[in-house]
Amino acid sequence: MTDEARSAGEDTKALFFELAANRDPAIRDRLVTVHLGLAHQLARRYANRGEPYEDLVQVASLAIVKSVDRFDPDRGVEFTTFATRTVIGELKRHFRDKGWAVRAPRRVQELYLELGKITETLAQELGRSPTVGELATATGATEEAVLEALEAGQGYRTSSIDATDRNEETLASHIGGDDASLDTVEDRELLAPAIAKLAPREQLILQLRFAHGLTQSEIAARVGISQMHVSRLLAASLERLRKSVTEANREAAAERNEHREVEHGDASQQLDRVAEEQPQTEEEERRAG
Amino acid sequence: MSMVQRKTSTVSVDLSIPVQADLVVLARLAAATVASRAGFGVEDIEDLRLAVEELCLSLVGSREDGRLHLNYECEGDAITVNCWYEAEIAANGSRGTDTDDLSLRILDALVDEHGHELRDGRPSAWLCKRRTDGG
Repeated sequence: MTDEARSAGEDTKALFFELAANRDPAIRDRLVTVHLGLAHQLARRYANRGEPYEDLVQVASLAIVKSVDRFDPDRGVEFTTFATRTVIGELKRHFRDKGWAVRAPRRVQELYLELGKITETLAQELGRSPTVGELATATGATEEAVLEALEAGQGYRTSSIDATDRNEETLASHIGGDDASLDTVEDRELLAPAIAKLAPREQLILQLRFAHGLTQSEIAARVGISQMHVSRLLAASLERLRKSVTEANREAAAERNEHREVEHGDASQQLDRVAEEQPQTEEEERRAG
Repeated sequence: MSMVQRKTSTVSVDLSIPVQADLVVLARLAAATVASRAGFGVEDIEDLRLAVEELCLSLVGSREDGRLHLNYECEGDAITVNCWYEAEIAANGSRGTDTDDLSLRILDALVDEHGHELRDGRPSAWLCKRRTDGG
C-alpha cells in the first residue's frame, strides 16, 4: 500500500468515527462520494447479464449509501470489505427480483418467478435460507429443474469489461452515451420489489404487456383467459404497484428527512398515466391500435 | 419441511473446461449441485456460484485458450474448490494470475477462505465455503 493510499484510508476511518459521533450529513455525503468508485467497479463486474449497466450502478450506489449508514468503525473491519458484501448482496437481490429480464425458456422463467416467492416464504418459516430440496418439494419441480431456474436467474455469462472481442474491441468501448431508459432507472428500481410481490401470473401479464408490447387480446390468448380478465388483472396489478410505490415514497421520505421525496413521486405519476392509457374493452383496445 | 436431507459422505468431483466465458456456467452449476447435495441453503449456493465464477475469472483473466481444471470436495459442512489453469506461466516472481484487489474483496465477501498461488508453474486458486445457516 502506498503512503498516499494509507493516508487516504486513515482519513476515511477518521471520517467514519466523526460520522458515528455526530451524524453530520455533510460527512455522510463525502463518504458516499468517496466510495462510489467501488459501486461502479462491482457493477461492471456483474454487467453483461441482461440487466442494463446503469441499473446495476444505481443498485450498487444505493448499497454504498446503506453501507455508509450501517458501518460501525469500532468493529475493526475495513469499510470496503463491509461495503463489498452489502453491494454484492443488493446486486444478487436485484438479479433475483428481475425474473423478467431472464432470457430463458418460459417454463424456466415461470419456475424462477415462483421460486422467488416461495424462497421468501420458506426463509421466514424456517428461519434460514431454504435448500434446493425444500424448494423442489414446495414447487413440485425436480431438484434439477430448481437448479436450472436458479442458474437462469444468475444470467448466463460474465466477462471482463476490458476483455477484447473478436473485433479487438473491449466491452467498455461498447458502452456508449446515455441509455434512453436511463431517466426511468430510479422508477424501475422502485417498482422492482413491488413487482416481485405480485403473483407469477400477474408478473407474466405485466411482462407481456409492457416489456413485450403485446395487446390484451394477445395476452389473453397466450395465458388462456379472456381479454376482459386480462384487463381486470392489469388494472388490479397497477393499483397494487401504485400503492407500493406510494408507501415506498413515504418510507424513503421519512428516511431521508423528506429531502428527495419529489424525485420518487415520478414513479407513482407514471403509473397513473399508464393506468389511464389502459384500454378497458376490446373496442377500446382496437381503437388504441 | 424443516428436515434437510443431506448426503453427508465425502464427495469429490473433477471438471475440466475449455477457457471460454460461456462455459463458466458449467463450473457454477457443478458447484451448485455439490452444495445442494450437501444441504446448503440457496443463499450459500448463490454465494458459492459467484465465488467460483470469480475464481475462474481471476485465473483466466483475458486468456482465451487452454483449459481450466476444477476439483470440488465436500466434507462435512465445508466445500473446497481447487482451480488451476493448465498452461505453465514463466516464473517471474508473480503469482501468474490477474487477481486484482476487487477479486480478492469479492471473494472475501462470499467465502470463508481463499487463496491464489503458482503451483508447479501453474496459476491456481482455491476457496472454502462453509454452510452458514446450519440447515
